[in-house]
Amino acid sequence: MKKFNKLSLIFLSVLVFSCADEFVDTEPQLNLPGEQQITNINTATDALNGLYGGLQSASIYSGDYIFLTGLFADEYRHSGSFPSFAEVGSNDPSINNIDVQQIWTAHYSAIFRANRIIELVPGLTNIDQSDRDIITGQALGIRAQLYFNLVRMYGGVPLVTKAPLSSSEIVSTDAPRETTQVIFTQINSDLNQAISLMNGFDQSTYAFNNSAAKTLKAHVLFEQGQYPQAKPFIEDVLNSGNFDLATSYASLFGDPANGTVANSTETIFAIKFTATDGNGMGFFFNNSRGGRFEVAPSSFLLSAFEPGDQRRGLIVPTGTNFQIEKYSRPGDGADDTYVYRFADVVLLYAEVLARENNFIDASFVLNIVRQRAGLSDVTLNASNFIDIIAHERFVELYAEGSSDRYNTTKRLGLLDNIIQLKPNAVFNPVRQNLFPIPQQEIERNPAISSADQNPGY
Amino acid sequence: MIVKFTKLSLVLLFTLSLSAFSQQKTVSGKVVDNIGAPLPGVSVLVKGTNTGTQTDFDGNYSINVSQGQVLIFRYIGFKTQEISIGESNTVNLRLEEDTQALSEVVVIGFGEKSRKSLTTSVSSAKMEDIKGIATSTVTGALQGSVTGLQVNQNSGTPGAGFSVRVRGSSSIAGSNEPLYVVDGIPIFSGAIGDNGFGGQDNDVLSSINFADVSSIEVLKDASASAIYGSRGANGVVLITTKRGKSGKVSVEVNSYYGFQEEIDRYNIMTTGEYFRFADTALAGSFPTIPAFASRGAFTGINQFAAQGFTDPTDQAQLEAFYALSFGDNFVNEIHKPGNIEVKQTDVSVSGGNEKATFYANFTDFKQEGVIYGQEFDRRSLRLNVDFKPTDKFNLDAGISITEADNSRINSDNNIFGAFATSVLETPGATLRDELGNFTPPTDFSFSNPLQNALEDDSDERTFRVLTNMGMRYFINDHFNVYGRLSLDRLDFKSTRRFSPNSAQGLGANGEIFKEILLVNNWNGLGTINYRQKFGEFDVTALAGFSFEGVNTDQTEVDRQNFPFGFKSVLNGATVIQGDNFITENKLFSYFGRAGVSYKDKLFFEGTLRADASSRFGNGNQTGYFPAVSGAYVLSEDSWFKNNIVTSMKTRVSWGQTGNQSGIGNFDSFFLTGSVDFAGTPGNAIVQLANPDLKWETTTQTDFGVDLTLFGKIDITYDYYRKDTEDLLLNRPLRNSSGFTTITENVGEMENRGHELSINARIFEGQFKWNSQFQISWNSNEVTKLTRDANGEFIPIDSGFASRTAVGQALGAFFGLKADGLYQTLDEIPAAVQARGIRPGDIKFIDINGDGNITADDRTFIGNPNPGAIGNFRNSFSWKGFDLSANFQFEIQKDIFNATRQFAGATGSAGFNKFKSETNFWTPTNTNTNVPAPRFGSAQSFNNQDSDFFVEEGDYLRLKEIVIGYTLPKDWTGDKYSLRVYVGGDNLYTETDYSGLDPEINTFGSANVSRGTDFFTQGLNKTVKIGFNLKF
Repeated sequence: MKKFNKLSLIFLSVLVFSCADEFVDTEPQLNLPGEQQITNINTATDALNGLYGGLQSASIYSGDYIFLTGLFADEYRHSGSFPSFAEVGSNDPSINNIDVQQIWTAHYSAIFRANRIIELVPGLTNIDQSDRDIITGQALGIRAQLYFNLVRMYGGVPLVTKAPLSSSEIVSTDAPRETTQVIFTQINSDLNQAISLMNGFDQSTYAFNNSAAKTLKAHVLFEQGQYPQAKPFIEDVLNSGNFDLATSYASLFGDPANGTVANSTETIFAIKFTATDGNGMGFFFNNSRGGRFEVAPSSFLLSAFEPGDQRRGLIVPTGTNFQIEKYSRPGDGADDTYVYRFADVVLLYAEVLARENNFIDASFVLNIVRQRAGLSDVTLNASNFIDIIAHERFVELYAEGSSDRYNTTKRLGLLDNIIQLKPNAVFNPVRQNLFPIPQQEIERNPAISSADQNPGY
Repeated sequence: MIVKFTKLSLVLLFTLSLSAFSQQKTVSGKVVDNIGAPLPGVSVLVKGTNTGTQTDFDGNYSINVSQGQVLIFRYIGFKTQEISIGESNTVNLRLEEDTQALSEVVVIGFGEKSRKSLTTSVSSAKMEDIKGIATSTVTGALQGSVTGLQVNQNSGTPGAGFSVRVRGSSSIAGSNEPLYVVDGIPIFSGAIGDNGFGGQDNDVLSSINFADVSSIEVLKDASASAIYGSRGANGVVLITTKRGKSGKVSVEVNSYYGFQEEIDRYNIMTTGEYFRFADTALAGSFPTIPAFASRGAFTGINQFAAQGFTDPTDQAQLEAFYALSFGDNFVNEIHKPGNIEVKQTDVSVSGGNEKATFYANFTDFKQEGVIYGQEFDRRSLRLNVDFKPTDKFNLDAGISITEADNSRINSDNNIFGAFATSVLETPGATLRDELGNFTPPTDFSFSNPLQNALEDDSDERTFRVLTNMGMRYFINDHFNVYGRLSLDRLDFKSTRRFSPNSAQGLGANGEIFKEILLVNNWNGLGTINYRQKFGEFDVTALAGFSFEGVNTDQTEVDRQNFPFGFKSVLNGATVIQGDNFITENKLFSYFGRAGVSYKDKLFFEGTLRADASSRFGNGNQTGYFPAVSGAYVLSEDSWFKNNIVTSMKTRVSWGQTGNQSGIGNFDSFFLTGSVDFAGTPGNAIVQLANPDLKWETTTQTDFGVDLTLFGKIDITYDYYRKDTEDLLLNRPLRNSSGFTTITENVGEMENRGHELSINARIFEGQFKWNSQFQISWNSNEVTKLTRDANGEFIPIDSGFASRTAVGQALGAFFGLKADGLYQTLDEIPAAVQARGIRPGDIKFIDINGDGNITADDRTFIGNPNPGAIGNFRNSFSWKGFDLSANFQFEIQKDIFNATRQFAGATGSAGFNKFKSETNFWTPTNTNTNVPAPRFGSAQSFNNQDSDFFVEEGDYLRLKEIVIGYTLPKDWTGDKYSLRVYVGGDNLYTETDYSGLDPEINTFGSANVSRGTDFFTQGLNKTVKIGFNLKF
């Protein structure tokens, strides 16, 4: 009897001991394990949608990237109450400016998502080569766009092309500020790869397709001063047969019932927003339309339009103020945000032609855009083309996702004068019109110290 | 012939006498206690044999024994007696109470011990002392009863949560509440629900029926709670429910009825007083517009003209206007008139025989709140049974079913709630018009307070089943094995409605939010228990394992836009939310405890527990929690015996316990989440792997002394040191990584304290007087947090003015220092004057001497953690009367009165103010501490977080006073026992705090923002009458 009891006790304890580890195994119900994020065509497509979701961030194409760059230039004036916006409006953002920091963080968060796709999708043998290429191509193109936004706003930034899997990996990886050349090399390499992978993929206005990549490539080459090299890319987009200018400018921007829907042939790349997944463009609107009226058109924008310019029609009086109404649904944010439109590429073409001294063709091309806006023709020549093109880009592309005013005037060397004309703005030439590296990044990144901060901050 | 006869008779005699010795007879008798009441269940044993029995309900026993043998009479709490059996067949006995504290039996984790052999720090709450308190939640009755246990009711709303701390706080991110164990089962406790309806918690402990509780023990030091391993760091509260005793079936009926009233009510300005204040404030900023507020600056309504006045520059007219008091007093209007009742009735039946006993109870509790729309009621049913089918086999089972309903309003801690808006709304309006309809909310800044209370509501129903079944098998005299399974099943449903006409629901045309939360907390354990005496050594040991799992299934639905009159979520035209969340965690543990005692005077014990939790990261899956302790009862030694110190024991213990409550169920996993892109599904990595994540560890050392003086005064003293490390904190990651923080175990905190408990049995005869004084001191300090890139510790800001920083107590208050008011212009530094500050504004101290008042002038200005807490209780009884009174106190604590940042003179002039603010500073009324009314930047300047809002929160409160009378047996007969009583809870509070109640916590049980008061309802005083009937 005693022996039996002893044996059963031992048996029981062995049973019990072996159960422990299996017992405490739990599976998360609300999430998938990270290892299963990208394993087949379905998850790869989901991850790509997740990347687009990242671009919808309030600090990127839902608002802040557009607002802050425009406030820094002469596109908007600060009409609201956020101290962080006020700082940027007077060209004196502090190193602790919360929105400057959030733009940085949101871009890197989206870069993380792109890195995951770029790392994992090419290795999936259970997906067709063509599908793999299209997904990877989009991720590469978007990553290039994100770094392009960053390098134009902040100068050299950390180059992160690998997604860390744990916090210890983050801590043990060095992420110093790279030079702008290094960033541009990466951007160009990503874009070249994207363009070749997405050869023939031009469908869908909401996908960063082949033409979007080529448009971006053209902008990048312009930024680097390589205008002749940009020409073939611009011509590819113009001749692709997929795009054209919409007949009326106003039709691009929807109405309060439907919001702005980027479904015309003019759209090259836009970010989609819906009523349940809305953008933050309500900042342009006052309370009667459900907005905050944080950002209003500047006096420079208001006076930039020539008489009869239909594009002025998207700025509407409201009481004693004016508000930009390119987005029609400030209450729920259900307006798409344009990043690249055909008109943008047409204007690039005008510039590239002007720069090769072909002013006849340059004028012809420029006037296509002007005619759509109901204006008469102008003639470009060597002394006026920069100002005219800068002006035309301003009145055509204001308040859109390409943040064109800040980026173009900076590229063309016009931003210094513009800032000095702004009332109450701080002009510090040493800053070279860059934003400060966020202080939080400097504090948290051992490879970046205060000495690495942009000059003038 | 004579010789033969003598031999025979000798033999006969011898035989006769032999049989006289060996012949068994039946001895019977009655055992009573020192006042003559029969004692059932007394063990009657024949010494040196295995024969024994027990006394029955009437105290009678009957046993077979031989003359010359000895009967041992043994009963817990009484002195054991041994009686030699003589000629008589009747042995009656009166047992004496063993009032030595050390003989008390104490429930500990997985067992019981006599207090004498206890080597750890465990305090028992005496049920006779606390069972009468009129509270919805069992923790409420624990206030002021146990040293080292700080219990605060977070709010006066019925069913509100409590925050409980054993020996101070030791976590920042995790919970600081102790582990609650009911009948050996760790139960699901804490706040639940996703209400967002004002700030009151839903404390799940409110579904435990207090009437069922027979004892509560608090395991305070690490050694006592180490056996609960990774959940014992905050102490353990062991609740044992009543069980039947063998004997006749007995019935008990207890009932009380109480009248409640709030301890204090906000006293606000009359309409005229408010307008005088507001006009003065605006006059500084709008000098060309006289009586701007009275003429509609804030509300758009020109009350001055509406009352028939014409000239706002005419001082006489203004004075007449300011003397008026029209419109409703909103604060009074939202309080219910008449009786605010609290009542409870419970009926229990118990009984059984030697083989089976049972206890059954039904309780009905109801408590109304002082504001319309507040009510808590609970009905519960319990059945506990114990079977002893054979000597070797015991079975115990219990089931309790509770249904609790809590109706609440949008109130506490919420500026849109009825409570806050009743104070802050501009006075002058009436809440209803002549037809009785509510004045619309658009006429108010926040809401119509009465409409808010009556039309917006939240109904919460908790249905809880706690059930367990255990079996014990006695292998032999030394070993027994025990196994048990239990289930704690909680269904929580809450429906929150914003009416289409009220301020909150107007924009959405009505909104209904419903939440259904199902929690299944199941566990099982198996132990093997051993006890054996080896000469003078008594060895006990316990080894076991347990497994536990908690599954949670939560569904939330929300719709807006309702057709008139419809009240179900389904009827809303606009879907706002439809979500379901499922999560779970599991725990598997081994534990063991071994103790040895020598000559019943020297005791040692060691425990070890190993916990594997699904929450810990892969690198730290199992935690080990050891503890050792020892005690020496000096009074057992002959050299010690004296008449002054009649018993003395010293104890020392050391142990490690853990706290895993700060870790989410899947925090260590590498996770992909669902992300939608404009209606298209997507995914993204949402959490990085965190394999090093583990529990927070507390190491505690305790030195204690238990002594009794003169056989009458029991003193217990403990000194403890608690060091907590591996506190979970968010460690910042570089933004360029794509993630901003990760949780890491980096922080450290320490608590040091003393506890003293003195219990004096001053008189013990016909007139009894027992006096108890208890006090415990705790000092808390945070010693380590995460560091920034410069190596500096990063402080954590929370609440209104709470900051957790190294070198300070948890959640200390941080802000500017104020030193009265500026009286003259010269006193004001130039830079401050340039900001518009004038005499009558607050004089802040320029700590860094830079000539201006900035964020750099802030410093630590208060500590919400009390320096000492305690109670003073006296109980008397004489000839059937009993009287007991308990005073409870907390001292050396501060409160940040954030309510004054709104309803005080420095709050916006658009809000009504407290009556006390009528004494505001003016050039002709300079002898006051109430700042001048201001508007704009000067008002924001004065209203900055500073010690102007920090007040002493020390208080002394008469927690309970009861006078009872037990009817004499002559009147009720032997069968019945009836006690009637009258008493009161919270009848008297002594405090300098200017708010409603120094006990409340606006942020509930939150760790880092305690001691803040923002429009939180205070507690109620209650006068109650009741009776206890037994038969």
